[in-house]
Amino acid sequence: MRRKVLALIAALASTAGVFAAEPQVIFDGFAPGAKNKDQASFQKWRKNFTRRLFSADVRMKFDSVGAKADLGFFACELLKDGTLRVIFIPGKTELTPAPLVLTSQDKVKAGEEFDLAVNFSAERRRYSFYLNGKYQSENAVFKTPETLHWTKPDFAKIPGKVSRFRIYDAALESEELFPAGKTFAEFDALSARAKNLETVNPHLKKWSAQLAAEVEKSKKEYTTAARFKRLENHIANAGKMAGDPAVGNAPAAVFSMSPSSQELLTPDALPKTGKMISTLRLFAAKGEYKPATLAIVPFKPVRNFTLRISDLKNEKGKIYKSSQIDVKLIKRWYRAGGTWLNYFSDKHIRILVPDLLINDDRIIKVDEFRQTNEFLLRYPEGARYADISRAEYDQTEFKSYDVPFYDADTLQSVELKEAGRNQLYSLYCHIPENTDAGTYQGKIELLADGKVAGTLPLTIKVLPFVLPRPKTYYDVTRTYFSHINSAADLNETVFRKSLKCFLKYNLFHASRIADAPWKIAIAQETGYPLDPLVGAYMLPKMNDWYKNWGGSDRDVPDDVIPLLDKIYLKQVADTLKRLGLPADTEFYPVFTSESDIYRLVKMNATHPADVLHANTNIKRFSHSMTERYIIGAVDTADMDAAARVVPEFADLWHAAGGRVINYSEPFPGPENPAWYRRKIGLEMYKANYDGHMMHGFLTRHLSEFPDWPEDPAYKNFGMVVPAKDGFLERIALIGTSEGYNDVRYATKLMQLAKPRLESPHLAIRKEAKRQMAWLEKLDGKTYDMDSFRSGCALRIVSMLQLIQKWEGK
Amino acid sequence: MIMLKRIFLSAAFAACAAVFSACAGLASPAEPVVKEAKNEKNIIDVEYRDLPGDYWNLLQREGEKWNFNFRPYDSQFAEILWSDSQLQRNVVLGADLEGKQPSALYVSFNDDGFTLLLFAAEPGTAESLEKGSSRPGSIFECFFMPGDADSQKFDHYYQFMCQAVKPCISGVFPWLMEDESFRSVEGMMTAESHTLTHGNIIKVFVPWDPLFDRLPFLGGKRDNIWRLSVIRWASSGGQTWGGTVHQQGEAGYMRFPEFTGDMKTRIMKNLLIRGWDAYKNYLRSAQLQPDILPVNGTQHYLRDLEKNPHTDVIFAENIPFRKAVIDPMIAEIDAYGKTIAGFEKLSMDEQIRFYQTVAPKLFNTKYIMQKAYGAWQEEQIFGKEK
Repeated sequence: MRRKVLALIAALASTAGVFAAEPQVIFDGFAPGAKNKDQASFQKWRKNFTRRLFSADVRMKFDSVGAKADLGFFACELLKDGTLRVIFIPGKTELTPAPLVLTSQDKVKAGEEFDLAVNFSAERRRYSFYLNGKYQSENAVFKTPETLHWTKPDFAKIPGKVSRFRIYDAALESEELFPAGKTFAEFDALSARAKNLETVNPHLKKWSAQLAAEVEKSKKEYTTAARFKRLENHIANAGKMAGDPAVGNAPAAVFSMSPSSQELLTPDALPKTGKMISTLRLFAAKGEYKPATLAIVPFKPVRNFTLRISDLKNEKGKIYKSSQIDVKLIKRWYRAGGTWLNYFSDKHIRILVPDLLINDDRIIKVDEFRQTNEFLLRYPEGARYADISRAEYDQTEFKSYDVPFYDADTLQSVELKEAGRNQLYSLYCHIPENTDAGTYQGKIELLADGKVAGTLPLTIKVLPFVLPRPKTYYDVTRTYFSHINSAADLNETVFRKSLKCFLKYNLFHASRIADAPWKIAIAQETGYPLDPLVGAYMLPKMNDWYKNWGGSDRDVPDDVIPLLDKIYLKQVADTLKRLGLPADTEFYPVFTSESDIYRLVKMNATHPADVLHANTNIKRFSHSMTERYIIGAVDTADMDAAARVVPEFADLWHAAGGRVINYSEPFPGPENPAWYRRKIGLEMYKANYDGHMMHGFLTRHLSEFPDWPEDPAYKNFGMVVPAKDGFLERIALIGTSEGYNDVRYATKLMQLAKPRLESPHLAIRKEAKRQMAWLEKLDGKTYDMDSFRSGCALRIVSMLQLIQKWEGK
Repeated sequence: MIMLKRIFLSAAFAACAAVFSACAGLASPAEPVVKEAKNEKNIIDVEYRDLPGDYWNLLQREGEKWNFNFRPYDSQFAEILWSDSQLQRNVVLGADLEGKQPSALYVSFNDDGFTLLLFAAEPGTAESLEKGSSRPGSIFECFFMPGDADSQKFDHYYQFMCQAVKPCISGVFPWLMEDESFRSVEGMMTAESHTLTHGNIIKVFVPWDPLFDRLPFLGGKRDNIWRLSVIRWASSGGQTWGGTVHQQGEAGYMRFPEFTGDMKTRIMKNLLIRGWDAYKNYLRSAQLQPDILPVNGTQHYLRDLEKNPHTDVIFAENIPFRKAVIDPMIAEIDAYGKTIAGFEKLSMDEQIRFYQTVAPKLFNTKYIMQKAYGAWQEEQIFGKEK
């Protein structure tokens, strides 16, 4: 029976016309059919459906005030003052009073028809109620279970009239539950816009004609406000694309967006911050990973769509291999409220957000009406999808290493189910340092069902310089730390994969690399930098120094202290030796336990810090020593991870010869790549910080949707999502990498310009001064980051040309 | 076992149906079997008005408009704290509150922005003064969120904190980057407070300017609803008018009225004029300075720039860019001034279309020009190969 019902739903979905999917009515009170025959038939039918999500779309009237109606799924009552009440019977718990009564803000008159919409989502813990398209009320008690009352309504018993009664198996947006309220003239005008679309593109023309026909059809049917808006949106987008000279004859438009754009692009929108392109042009320095984001908007559905990139050739015949370009699908999925913004997790809201960089779209199935995420689990006995977004306690933790959830090894084709809905792609182009400068030409082919449906010329201009590692703004010789905590170390394979990921995204100062000799060996093998090192938990702790005494640290006699110092230094040296590291390795162990003055003093950490300072290259790295705690820290600590980006903190630490990085702007969790790029890059750099500390890479995958027994209001503090074979990367990594790339470009410019402020060559001197002034004037908090990048690249090239001309280098 | 399960389920269903029928009034309309729970979210109607200079007297003069529906923080199952009508009357009258710390909220808007009035009863003020201590000053932690009551649409929530004894706005955390799509309210909101005999009233004003592209009547929905969370951290514990911190889905709502045509016109016109000023100020800024640097001339400075066209410190130095991009852009935006002056003469549809086209250009000139400059520089990078 269940299979039949699902087949029916699938059949209904396939008749959706220009839309690949639309909300499905599961029960129509006025439609003929078995489920509507009698109560027993209804009860038999409704067992096929979960009651965790539903909506109702009702048109009715009451004959008199004080009238009440049992509508099967809920009840409704018109009070004497015209207020309408909707009553639900949620399952009773010790916490939940029943019934739940929602009261209207607006008034209704007896004898007057009104449109009533209610919806419920157990996943969002939300019952809500709308009247004539306007919001009225919802529950304030969030631990409210699903309603138990599902009976076939008997409209004959209603003291009034019900003329529409439809139930959906999703908690829909309000506009899905109201008639569009448009006149025939408005339908005609919309249809005419689609019909009269002028374009040379035959595919766009055809799609537009289909949209016009759909509007005509909708004019004759019950059409919801949301459906009318969907048609309006598609027709407006078709018009915009038709008017763009880049549209050509291809069956799809290609938009280029900044890979660190703040725009949260929804599937049915055209990028506001991008532009339609007929050629993709990228510029990059040697040693850079250059990202690009494409939004493909098809003019017709395509069963199997993918991109194929050719090798590129420069003017001298040198080849840039396409294998250097990592193409990924950018997958949208649902995340809890606060998504794109911060690390807080609001379980009452779900937002579809572009996030994951994957090869195979099928590994996560997303239902945009039911707002669910399903992971494809590939068990030996067969694959199946599992909904990992239910608000249930069995969903609190996804144990990725225990279940077979993983991505394909190579890019797979994707089904473009609906014309007008964009598919996002990420291109991540590695320019090896030994690449010759020059302009490389190639192409990106758009493949539809194995055939070339369109071609996009691709140009990559390799600039004539190598990007240096990032250095600070205030001192171009000092390291700008790009820390992350820390590489996943389930096994050597995953650890190696993590380090390669760090190198790809400019994360050069991962903590815990020096935890074990095998980790250091893998770091050396992958070319991961080991100097300076951050966060080593194998080193003897500073506050353990006194433990060789055997008594309280307060009782250590003066004459024993030199002996303890010697033992402590030997332990440190032995550890370094065991790890295979030079004795003078610059080390920044993180001692979070010393993060306030109380512990600093109580744990007697100042003395061992002095011992290390005097005898090794090991630094004291404190955590969150903001202004309040700075006394007693600046003279012993070498670097602080501050909670905020405040230029005055940087001044204070630098005045004392120390450094300051930031650990919370940003925290990992949100997706918005602009946030990472801005904060880690220009904002922190221009605030004279010494870098950033990223608080998490691969964490446990705690589901954001259920109430956790612990820490309920935070997202996973991770830059990747765990999978059986390691992890899936996220677009936040691209923003992070771009932030550091901005610093690397600025570093290159500084390295060229600053030493030449006193150049004997006037042209060079003037140029150097101008470029230093440009960089200084630039507002790190607001200046357009892509504009900064092209400006910086241009200035570096100009400077190099002058240097070559006058200095002959 | 299956039979037992069926019996249990049908019994549960029958019990439930009985409750349902009773509640719907079908069995016993006069006496509901189960006590109804008042656990709806708070909604406050926003009143269109200019507030009087003595806004603090509104509590007494218009007490019926204030909303007292605060619940204990983090304890959402509890009843509303200040539902006692006598206590509410005492608040309005300024009478003795018997040591209690009720809170109340009022919201209004006008052509310039919207205002929250927050009342915090502080019965311990006199005692603190007598003891030589600081006055008790509760902190309010709030956020508002443009949009509506549906949940799928993404937007920013604007968080801030304020306190009565130190009436300033703090704790503004912009969670998005400043760009064409987002402007922080930091530095734009204002706060002031007034001390009454039994507590403090804080007035928080939010101008429309940073929200010019999020106006309630431009939301495209039939209602004009924004989320609002007001949490008071008082000495007696937390009180909330809208859920817990950072939880947009738990917030209450402020409901703007149906906007009349006049109201819309005045708000849009006001913003267009303020946007005009912002645009003109930007033109005078250090980045552009078109009035300072001459476009044509034979000065050595300009000749030098021509020889080194990529070394400009500001846009204005890049003469080709100015001529090709900046000057036409300025001419286009300047031409809107005439329509702004006669904005009221347009039909409402025309006004909205004009506003939605022009306001972003006025408020976002900086970003638009920076982006154009970026594109120009990119052309130079690729052009060098030609």
